[in-house]
Amino acid sequence: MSAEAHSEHLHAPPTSFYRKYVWSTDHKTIAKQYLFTAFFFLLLGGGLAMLFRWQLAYPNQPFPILGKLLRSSFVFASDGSVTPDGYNQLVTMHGTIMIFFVIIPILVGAFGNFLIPLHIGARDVAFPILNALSYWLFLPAGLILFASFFLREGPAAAGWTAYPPLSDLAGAAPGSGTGQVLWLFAILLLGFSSILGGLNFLTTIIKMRAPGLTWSRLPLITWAQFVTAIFQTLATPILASATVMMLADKLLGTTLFLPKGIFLGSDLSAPTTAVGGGHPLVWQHVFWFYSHPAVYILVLPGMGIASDLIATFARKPIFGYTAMAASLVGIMGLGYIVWGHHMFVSGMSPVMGMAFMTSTMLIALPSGVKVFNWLGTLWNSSIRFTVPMLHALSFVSLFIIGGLSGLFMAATPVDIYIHDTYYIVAHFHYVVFGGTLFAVFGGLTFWFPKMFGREMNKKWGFVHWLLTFVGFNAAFFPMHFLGEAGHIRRVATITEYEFGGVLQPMNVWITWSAFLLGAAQLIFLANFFASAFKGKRSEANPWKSNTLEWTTPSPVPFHNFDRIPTVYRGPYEYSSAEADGRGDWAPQDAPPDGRGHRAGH
Amino acid sequence: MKTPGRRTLAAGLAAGVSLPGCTDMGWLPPNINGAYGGTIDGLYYKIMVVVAVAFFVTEGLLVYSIVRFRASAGRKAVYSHGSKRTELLWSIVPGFILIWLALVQKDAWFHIRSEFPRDADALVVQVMPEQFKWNFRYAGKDGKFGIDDPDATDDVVSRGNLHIPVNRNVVTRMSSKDVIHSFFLPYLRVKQDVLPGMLTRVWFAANRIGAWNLKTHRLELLTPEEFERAKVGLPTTFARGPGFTLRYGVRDPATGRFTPQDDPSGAGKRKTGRRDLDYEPPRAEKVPIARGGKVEELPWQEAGYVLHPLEIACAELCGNNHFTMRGMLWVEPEWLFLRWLEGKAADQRENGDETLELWMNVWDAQHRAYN
Repeated sequence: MSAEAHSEHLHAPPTSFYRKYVWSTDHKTIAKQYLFTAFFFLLLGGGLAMLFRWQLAYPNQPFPILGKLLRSSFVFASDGSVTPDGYNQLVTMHGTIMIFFVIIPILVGAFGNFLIPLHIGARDVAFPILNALSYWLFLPAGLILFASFFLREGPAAAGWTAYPPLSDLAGAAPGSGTGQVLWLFAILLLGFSSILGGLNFLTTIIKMRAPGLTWSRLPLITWAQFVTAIFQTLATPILASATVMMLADKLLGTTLFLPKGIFLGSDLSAPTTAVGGGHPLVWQHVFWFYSHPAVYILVLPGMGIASDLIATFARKPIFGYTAMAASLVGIMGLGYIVWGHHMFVSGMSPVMGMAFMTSTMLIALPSGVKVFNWLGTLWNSSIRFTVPMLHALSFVSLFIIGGLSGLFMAATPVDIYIHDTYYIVAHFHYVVFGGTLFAVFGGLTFWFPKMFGREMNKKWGFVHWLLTFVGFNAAFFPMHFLGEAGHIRRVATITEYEFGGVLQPMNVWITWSAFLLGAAQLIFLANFFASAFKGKRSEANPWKSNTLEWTTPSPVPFHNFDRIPTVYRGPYEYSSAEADGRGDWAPQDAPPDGRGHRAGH
Repeated sequence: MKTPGRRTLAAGLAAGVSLPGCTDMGWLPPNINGAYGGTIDGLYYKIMVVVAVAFFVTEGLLVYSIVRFRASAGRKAVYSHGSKRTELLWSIVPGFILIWLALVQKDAWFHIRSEFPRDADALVVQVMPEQFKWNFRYAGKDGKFGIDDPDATDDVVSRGNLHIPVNRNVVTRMSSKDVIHSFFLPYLRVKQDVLPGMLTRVWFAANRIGAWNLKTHRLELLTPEEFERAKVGLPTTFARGPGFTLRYGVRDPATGRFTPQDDPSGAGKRKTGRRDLDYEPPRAEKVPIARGGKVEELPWQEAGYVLHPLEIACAELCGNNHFTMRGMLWVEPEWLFLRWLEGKAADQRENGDETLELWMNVWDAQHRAYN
């Protein structure tokens, strides 16, 4: 194989600005394009959250400075406070941006692109041009969504779930006209980008693994990306169909989600939908058939990152590698048959509710196995508290909370009460922020040397982790209490309700915690960019890690590997007898010479 | 790789991880659903026990490992790929617990969602929400729903206020006029989406009556027996005449003094939107007071309570003023409920009602099958 590698024809790195930074087909550049675009949307989506948190703590009070500057425009009233429809637009766009334009692009677009070829010892993904096309479909999708902020009536306001008829009928809400149409186009484009990306990753992982890299020697992050790519390829078309159906309703006059006899407003002379024939629950089924698997797209790569980080910094092989990989596949299988748990109070048949409750309870099992195996990995290990490891340990602790709180909502009778309250808001933020974003921060710090050839500043990394961990728990844990107390979600203020008035001090606390959490992310971004230019130069393998990306210089050269490596062992052979010698690790590509180290290293 | 202060870091991380576990379980509001409310709360606590055990075991192990197995001079990780037996154990045991958790929900779920009382044994109310109001309809004397002529119907309609008798099964038959709303009664643990073009139903039975204690200035939930023993004044909105008037305002926590304000959210330097409420003494000397099964005109000072409504919330985002979509749930003794129903019917015959045409043109014209 090495002879083949030497004789293979390698293209020279592109030199023009356009081919190097814009229409690049290099997976590492595309990963960075995804990453920086997602950073922009992270700031935007987070900023929106700050605005609506202010409204929740201080209802109808002018938002400091920005509210005055933008009064009577954007989401602000003439006195600088957030308007009720502005509030709905803020929560809708916050959810849409964070899920579709931050978490998925970072996990799949950035981490998937950057790591998959490096982890499998390949020079690029299988279809580099398709890969560039994925990004160049994603960016316009983001721009279309962003453009909807500049509409006179504002962006979509029907929630990130866009339930019809509210989203479907232009007259139902200020954002349900052009704003919702742009939202649908953005999601449709993003869907295509996602399907292309999924196909590309599947092909890459199946066909392009280095010699000796069997399925049982893949890093768990690659397993997670593999399962995620299956989700992307098979579930996203359903979302795309749903958006096309709603676009047909909005632009072609069909009524696929609209029953007859809807009356909008006070005019009772004729119904708004005279024909009808559609059903609003169809959207919910189709939407959640994609969006529940999407929740796993949001968390599985995070699990993979956490597994790699924990093994590296615990200096110990992953406990039960096979079960860890199998549970990812198990989550995928079950992930397709739990969507109905979002619809227990929707009017769906109670028999279906019972079935979906059972499948939902069962999906907790593979997630539980993963938690136990992480704990098993830590047992009798030797833990290095690096910044990436702090994030990985936070991931485990917060994912436990997010997973356990899910059981309350899986139980149909209990869900009747806590459905659509802050309980669910707390639950999914524990999974997606507490879980995934901590894994993202850990992963970015961990692989930063491979991206930029430098290390991120440890002190500021630690400060960011600490403030994020404190701010996150202070902001989101009390939301369980609010949900328990019946605080409904997506309301511009709960003080309209007598039972809500007493909950208001907690809202103030949560808002200030959220401000702390938001501010802490600026530290991360500052550290990220400062370190990219000025950080300490990194050696090839600063963390003494085993997987293939660490066998090539930092930053990774254009062709990734001088020659395609041959793999001799699994990814987590730490502290083995074989590794005894100069360290406690045994790189995957080191021939078994009894010392676990490549000659000349 | 060396990080300063590893011991401090380990201790801090351990404390941080375990803090969220110290949860208070006292946040659930009172539960007055005599039909199955207790079952829902019981299941909630049952899951809480399982979750608490799982939480303390897993987070405990995590914290222990963080402290016990932190890197130190001479410490070397034990090389191991795991143990099949342990993995089997922690797959099978949680598996059984999860299936058990699903099975214990089954009876309650089907009881709540499928075992409806017969219409003859319950009060049937139709609910038709619209952006951003709740509309209710009672069948009237003939026991049948449907309006052909708004001036000659015996159906009783009500906007914003749902009156129900205490300790009687209530069935709501619901369909939306426009978008999806969700019928949420926090104190009764009831929630059901209401869709256009589709009928959804829930049932429940309230076993206590909301009453505002005029001495303690708090909402109390009285049993029917307690209610009959007490003297309960009727609010203006209920009596549609002189009565106690609800005012929003701010109560000074130190002195207990209540200052009514039209916009209490405007009180204080940084206005957090906190609203207190209380009843103002009526202008008339004598007011209607419920006592021992009948309403009498008595001096207002004699009243110990005022009949106070509980709240109906919309739990599904339904448009720009979704947050204002608040309804009133009046739980009353049967006799007081009938008195209200008769009064409302008489008032409707005399003055009509703005929502009669709405019911006729929307529900009866489009969805007569739902009657």
